[in-house]
Amino acid sequence: MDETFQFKCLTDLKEYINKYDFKARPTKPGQHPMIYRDDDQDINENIMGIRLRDYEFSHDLQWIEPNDQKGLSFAGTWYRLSRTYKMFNRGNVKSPDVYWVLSGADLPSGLKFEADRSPRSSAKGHFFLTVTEKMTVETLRKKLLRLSDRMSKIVAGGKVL
Amino acid sequence: MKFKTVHYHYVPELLKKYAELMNKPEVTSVIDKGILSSDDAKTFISFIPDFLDYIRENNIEVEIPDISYEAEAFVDEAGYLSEWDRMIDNL
Repeated sequence: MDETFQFKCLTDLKEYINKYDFKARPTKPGQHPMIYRDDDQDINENIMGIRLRDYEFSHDLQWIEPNDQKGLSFAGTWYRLSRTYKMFNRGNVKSPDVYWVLSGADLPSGLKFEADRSPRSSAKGHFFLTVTEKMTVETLRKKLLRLSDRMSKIVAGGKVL
Repeated sequence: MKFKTVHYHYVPELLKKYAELMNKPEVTSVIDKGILSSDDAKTFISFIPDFLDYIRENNIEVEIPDISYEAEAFVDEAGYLSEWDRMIDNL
């Protein structure tokens, strides 16, 4: 991760992030922004850190099939990010980390942000990090790790990387 | 079950499980039959802060983004998004 920004309150975070056209994900503190832990199978069943419910796996679970409405969930607006953030904050994760990347950043080949096309206003500002070509689970993992190196991390006051 | 999901199909069952644990049969009823009135919407929406408090107090791990996405979609589908927004703003 190439940058860390600390904020003291949600207004700080809003002012900072609204300067950019971004895609962001709140996560539990200390958790990788996109790769799930092997010991997290009870809640987030995953293969090599790729959650089964996020992508379309082949029957043999070796491949990821392209699907423009399946992928890791990202917020593309402050409104969308703040909804999830506030639920995190009230629930079991005080002060989640927020990882973000510029919308115009070069993504590894075969990855693309796609707007959620669910026919509801609540889908507005929600994006999926999709795969556009069939790839192995291992390849997707490598691409996500590469992308995560370009992401910036925003943390609540007092915490640093 | 009338709580129709978009992506995270386990969410209604998970919320129902905690509504039962929290002894809130009126919430499980709404999850089962869907949001058919403003009272149903109020019942479901007001459950969310209680649920979040419950998981915090009991140190329970859940995937908040999945729950946020599907619960909001459930309320939105029934036409009560502004009530949902008010609840989130007051968290």
